[in-house]
Parts: sequence; structure tokens; C-alpha cells
Amino acid sequence: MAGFSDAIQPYQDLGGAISFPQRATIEEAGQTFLLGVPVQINATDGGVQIWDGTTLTAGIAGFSNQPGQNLGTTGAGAPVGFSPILGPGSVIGNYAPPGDSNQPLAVITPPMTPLSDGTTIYNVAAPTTIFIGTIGSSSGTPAAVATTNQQVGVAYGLTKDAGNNFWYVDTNKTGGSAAVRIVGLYPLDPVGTVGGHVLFVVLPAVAQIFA
Amino acid sequence: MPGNSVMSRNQFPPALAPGLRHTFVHWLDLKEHMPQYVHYMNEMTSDDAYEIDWELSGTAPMPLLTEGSAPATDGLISGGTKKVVHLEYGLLSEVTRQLVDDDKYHLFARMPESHARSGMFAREAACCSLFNLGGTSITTTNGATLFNTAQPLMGGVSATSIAPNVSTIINSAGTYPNRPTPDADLTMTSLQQAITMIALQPDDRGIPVHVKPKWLIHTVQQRRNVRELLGSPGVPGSSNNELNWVIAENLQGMELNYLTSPNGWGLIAEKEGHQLKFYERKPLAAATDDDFKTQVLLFRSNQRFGVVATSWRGTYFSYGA
Repeated sequence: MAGFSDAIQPYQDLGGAISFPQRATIEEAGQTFLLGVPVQINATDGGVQIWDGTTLTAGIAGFSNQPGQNLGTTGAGAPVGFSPILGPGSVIGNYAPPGDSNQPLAVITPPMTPLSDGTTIYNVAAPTTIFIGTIGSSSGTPAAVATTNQQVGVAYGLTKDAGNNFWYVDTNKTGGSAAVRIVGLYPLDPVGTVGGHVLFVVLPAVAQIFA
Repeated sequence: MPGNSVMSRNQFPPALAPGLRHTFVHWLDLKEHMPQYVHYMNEMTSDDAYEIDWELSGTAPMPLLTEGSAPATDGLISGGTKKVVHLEYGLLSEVTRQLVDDDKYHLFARMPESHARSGMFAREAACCSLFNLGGTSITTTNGATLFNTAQPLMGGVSATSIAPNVSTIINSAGTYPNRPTPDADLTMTSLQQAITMIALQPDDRGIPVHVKPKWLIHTVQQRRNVRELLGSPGVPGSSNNELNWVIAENLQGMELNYLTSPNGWGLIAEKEGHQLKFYERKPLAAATDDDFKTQVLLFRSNQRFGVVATSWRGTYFSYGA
């Protein structure tokens, strides 16, 4: 089944002129998350990883602003103090030099591959940032649901869309399972749009960091 | 953070009243020295997000051609690449409008000059990190650390078999060191070993490079030691009447304030003999603006550059015993 969700992005900031707060933090090893999904900071080593979907007390650090880089080790290549990037500068597309059998660590990095400095940038789940995402329900067969004016002001959970690995605001998760609160409907989606977008903030108790 | 994020009048009462004979301002009165990194880094410019350097071997030595037969064939070997991503450095200082207006000595309006000093530190420290971190986490095109006791050669075992007179230098066949085993303090003996090691350096196919060290990199703590080693007419510390052979090497000391290992020292060739590079992506630039609502003055300085060691050639470093 093709997924119905899409990337969660910052939409508006309550501070007016203040831009969306972002952070760049070392990325946990082996992460393959998409751009625009909830992430959390690993308690053991401080690396940013995909949100586990269940931790609701200080559980969501923000929403990824770049795809996971599948690092070999947490923070691989991150500069320390005043240093260059301590790695090949990219972790995608590198290949061993053909015919060079004597330098096992050498790699050729093709141009146009994404930069990698061992960190990942994410939009901080600050209570002042309004995010936009798709609304759906995990009840029964997960599917998109129609937007309604009554959804505004209600707290819902977030669920990963098994169809495409993006996340959606899940009307099937309420009460103790809630992670976000809808503050408005996306004005370009007519009310009643199935799979329309809603504007939401992360609940303060769920936000792992605020700035 | 020890610095004041938003500077206001109550933090700097002396600036508000006349009568000070002199204000000793660090960024103005501590005389700047010439930048150090320009003496050992190959400086280049860049217009891109990153640069990629590639290393390519030459052909092997030309073998004997027997009568009536075709020459042996040999080709080039592709080494790895080194991608240098230019990193941004920036600093912001905020000063209340009232402090700038009431500052009798016009010091706070000169924040960009202080930023210039801060920006220079970033350049110096980043360049010197090649030495500071070259034994642990800074790698070159061959994937090994910049300073290593066994730099893998593209030609492998053949390269060290071909390279003349290296059997007592190398630690393993197919590799060549540019770091002592174990690390040693700077003495006449260790310096002799370093000069020998760098002078016998072959290329990746085993052909001697004929590289000659020019600079003896050292810390302030090693100044006396370096002067004695390079300047004594006789061998320093020896009761014998031996000439100080190092004088004829024409080595010059290069004291770097940004080395972090007090006993660290090394040798590098002239700039064309090594591949330590500084890519200037965006020179240090200052900008000033004020916040419309608060009138707080904002001084911002940015620069972007990349530092890389493409190859270990022409370098040698020891982190001290």
C-alpha cells in the first residue's frame, strides 16, 4: 500500500520574526530516517535517531530536516573544536579505488553526493513552532481521514505510515497517547479533505528540547 | 559562557565617564603577530560547497628490456579522494544602543576589530589541527591518518621492494612511515631519524621523491631545544668535538602557538613539497545592523574555509614520548 503521509515541516512561528529554531546534533549510527519525521536524542550517547513512537515524556526532539545518513558510528566525521570534518565528507556513494588493493581504507567520493559532517539538522520541537503534517488514523487499516473543524484544539498521537515511512497525526491516539495538539487546518486544503494537512504543536511534556 | 552576550551599560561603567587615562584594550593594544598558518599552508580559493582532491600514482620504474622482446607494461593506479567541506565560522556580538551612545571612548563601536582577532584564531587553530589531530582522526586520500607509522602505498609490497634503502625504515612491507615508532621527544637522535625517514620517502611505486624537509615545526616549550639543535656549532650536549651536522641541513624552526602537545614536533617540506591546504571559500566579513524594536546593535562576522591534508607526502610528526 502506498503511503498517504508526507514530511512534517515547520509552518509558522508564534514569535513572528523569529525563524524556526534548528539544531545540528551528532547522528546516531545506522539511521535511515526520512526528511520530516520525528526524531529523538539517544539517552546513551546523545545521537539523534528516529523517534521510538512510544516515549511521550521528553520524547521528541524535533523533526528531521535532512534524511538519515546511515553512519557507521554515532557522529562519524563530526568536527571537534577547530578541526575539519574528520571523515570522508560523505557517506553515500563512496567506493574503493578500482585497482588499488593496497589501501583498504581509501575511498573515492563522487561529486554531488550529500555532504556529511556526522551531524543531522532537525527542526526543534519548540512549543512556539507550528508544524504541518498529514492527518490519518491507525484504527483498523491505517488510512487518511478527512479534516474537520472539530479537530482543532484536540491532542492526538503521531504514527509512522508503514506505506512510506513518513509520519501522520493519528486521530486514533488520544489521551495518554497524544503527542501533538492541532492548532489549525491547512488553509489550502478545503475542510473535509481526506488526507488533508493540519497545523499542530508538540505538547510541552513530549518535547525533548525546546530551543 | 564567560563573555557577555548582550552588552549593556551596567556591565561597563568605566566606559560611561570621562577621565580614564588609558584603556588597555586587548584586541587593539595586544599587538597582532603575523598569521602563522600562511607560512606552512598552501593557500587556495574555492567557489564551491566543497573541493575533492584525488591522488594518482605514477608508473613503476622502467625495467630492463631484453633484446627482441616487447617492453613490460605498467599503468597508473587510482588512489582515493579527499573531500574537503568548507565550514562556516561566525560570531555575533550585541550591544545596547545606549551603551554605544554613552561610550566615551568609542570602543564598543569597534567590535568588528575584535571579531577579526577571533576569526584569525579560528583559522590558525583549524590549520594547526592538522598537526594536533593528524595522528588520530585526520586522514588523507589513502584513508590512514595523516601521521602514521605505516602509510599504505598504492604499489603495495612492490613499492617498498623497489624503493632503495628503506628496509630499515619501514615497519611493514608495502607501507612507509612518517611518524616514529614509538613517538619520541625532539633530540638529535630522533631528529636524525626523522630527516632520514623523510629524505628516503618513495612515491607509491617505490621511486624516491627526493623531498627535503625545510621547517622544523615545534611548540614554544621546545624553543630552547630547537635553537640548540639547529644552531650549536658542535653537537649539542656532547663532550666530543663533533660538528653539528644539522646546520648544513638548513632546517629552520617554525614555532606554532596553536600546537596542543607540548612535546610535539615535526618536519615539513617547503609548500610545494607537501599537500597541506587551506581553501578560502569566503573571507572574513563583518556586518552591522540593529534590531528595529530594541535598537540593540548587532555585530556579526562570518568566514568560511576548508582545511585538508590531501597526502602525507613531505610531512613527518611525532607527538613526543
